[in-house]
Amino acid sequence: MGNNIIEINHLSFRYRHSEELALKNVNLHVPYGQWVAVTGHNGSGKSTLARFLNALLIPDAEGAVIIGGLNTKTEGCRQEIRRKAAMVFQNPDNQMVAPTVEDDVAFGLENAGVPYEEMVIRVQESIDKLGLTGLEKREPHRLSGGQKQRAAIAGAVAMKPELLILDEATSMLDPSGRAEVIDQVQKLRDSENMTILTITHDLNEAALADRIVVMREGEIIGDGTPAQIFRQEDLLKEASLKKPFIIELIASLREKEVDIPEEVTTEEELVNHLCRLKQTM
Amino acid sequence: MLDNVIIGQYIPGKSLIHKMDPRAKLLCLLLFIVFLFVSRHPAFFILAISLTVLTFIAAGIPFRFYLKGIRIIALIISFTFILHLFVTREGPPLLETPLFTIYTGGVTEGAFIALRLLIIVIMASLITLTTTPVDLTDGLEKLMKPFGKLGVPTHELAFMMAIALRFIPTLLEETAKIIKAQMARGANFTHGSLWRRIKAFVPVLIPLFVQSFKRAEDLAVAMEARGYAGGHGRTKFRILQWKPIDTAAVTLFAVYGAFGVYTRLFI
Ligand SMILES: Nc1ncnc2c1ncn2[C@@H]1O[C@H](COP(=O)(O)OP(=O)(O)O)[C@@H](O)[C@H]1O
Ligand SMILES: [Mg+2]
Repeated sequence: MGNNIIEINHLSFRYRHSEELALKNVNLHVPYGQWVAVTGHNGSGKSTLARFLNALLIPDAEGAVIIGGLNTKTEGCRQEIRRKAAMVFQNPDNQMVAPTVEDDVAFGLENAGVPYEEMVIRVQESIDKLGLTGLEKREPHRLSGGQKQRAAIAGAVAMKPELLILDEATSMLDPSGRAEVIDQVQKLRDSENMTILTITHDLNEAALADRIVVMREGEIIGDGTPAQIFRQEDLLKEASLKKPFIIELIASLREKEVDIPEEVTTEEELVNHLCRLKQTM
Repeated sequence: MLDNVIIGQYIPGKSLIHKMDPRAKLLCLLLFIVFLFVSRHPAFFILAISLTVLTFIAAGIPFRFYLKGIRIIALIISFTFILHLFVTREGPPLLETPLFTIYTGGVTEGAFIALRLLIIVIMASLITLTTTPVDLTDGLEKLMKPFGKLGVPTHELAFMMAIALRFIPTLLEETAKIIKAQMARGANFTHGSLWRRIKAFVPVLIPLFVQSFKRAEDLAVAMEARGYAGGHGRTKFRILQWKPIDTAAVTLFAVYGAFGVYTRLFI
């Protein structure tokens, strides 16, 4: 099964001193290049799952997490797994380690012992890629939330990861910061063909992905394309998720007998489709 | 209110002192302080003061920036001076009152100490004002490296200091935010007795502490996720460059030190 970057098999987990299981028999296979959105209510186990992908948590006897062919249980593989699967967290203020953007982008490279000459090139490349050119010497407290998160992503991208995990990376941002970050993630995916796993409880954001995984109380209760997921009213209700406005709009248009195909799930796609319909009329 | 904090207050510039290697600056400061206590010869003091004035001019930083830093230190200096007046009992009495006697020795001793402290503070602020906190911690780490062999965790110490410096502005911002939130709820930080004002700060400190612990935890996870595993096998993005001017400066301060020893032993 060489074409899956993520393979999670029978993963159950309970935090120490905790009564309930945070994860219950989770199985998830993600092929290279896919964009997966993991969604679910607060406390449904999304962050816990993400921590397993990065070897921050290790499965016990039964379960297994294999990232790009490397088992997180093998101690010697963990640093390499962290290099393959880079992670960006929720709070923009709590993940910048260094005093300036460029120092922070370099942090992971320094840890990996990358030689100075190569480091300089990779830092600048990532900064440019994330549209932060000119902000190299800025201190964190003089950056906007969106810029801080983009700096964090630049730090991840500098490691040339195969998998980029964003754990609610946009949830503390204002709408423009959120748009900035999502825009950059889309670009990364298109230009680098990186596998992306975003965790979000904003279904508008999830709708952009290739695949949505719905979690509730530590279990995966839904898995499919956005169109497949949004069709299942009960599933969304069970997971206490709110359908995106655009999906509601498409549903009402269909009721009015406007012909809209299944694959249309985002605003852009809807606008394009409606324009095409208008031309044929 | 919080703008008066001078720790890590760096004033950007292109002066000779700005361009120096932080290691050289720290070495010079160390030499300056250590040898300042070696000799009490007037000629040596004149040399020390000249060096301070020279560095001051070379740094090209407006005097008002020092005043801010010196305001608090001035209190400490005055206090030491006054303490010496009463404690030192040398030389002929200068002033006799039924309660205490002040001796000339106390005045000269107090003046010596006050003068020393004053020029040390000026020298030290010259360095923090012309060096970014990052360069300072980098310089410290490099200088402390030999102690690493003795088991001193030099990388960890420097790293902790760097993170603390990185979070000072963030925490100040947060404090200001909490103060505003408490003021909106009717808390008063500017009126009332000192005790009342101190008490008003308790509801500010508690959320600040709670939040800081959360930050520390998040940061630790983020660092681990980014492959941090201590200083071993790590490379550095920032490199320090030792230039001729650095050698010149260290030599100058070494000569000053030698002169101090000379005046102590032979004059
Ligand atoms: N460090 C921890 N210790 C104990 N329990 C935890 C810890 N982190 C999360 N949990 C619990 O595990 C469950 C899943 O949490 P989490 O994965 O953070 O959910 P989500 O990210 O979906 O909001 C929750 O019930 C939460 O209370
Ligand atoms: Mg979470």
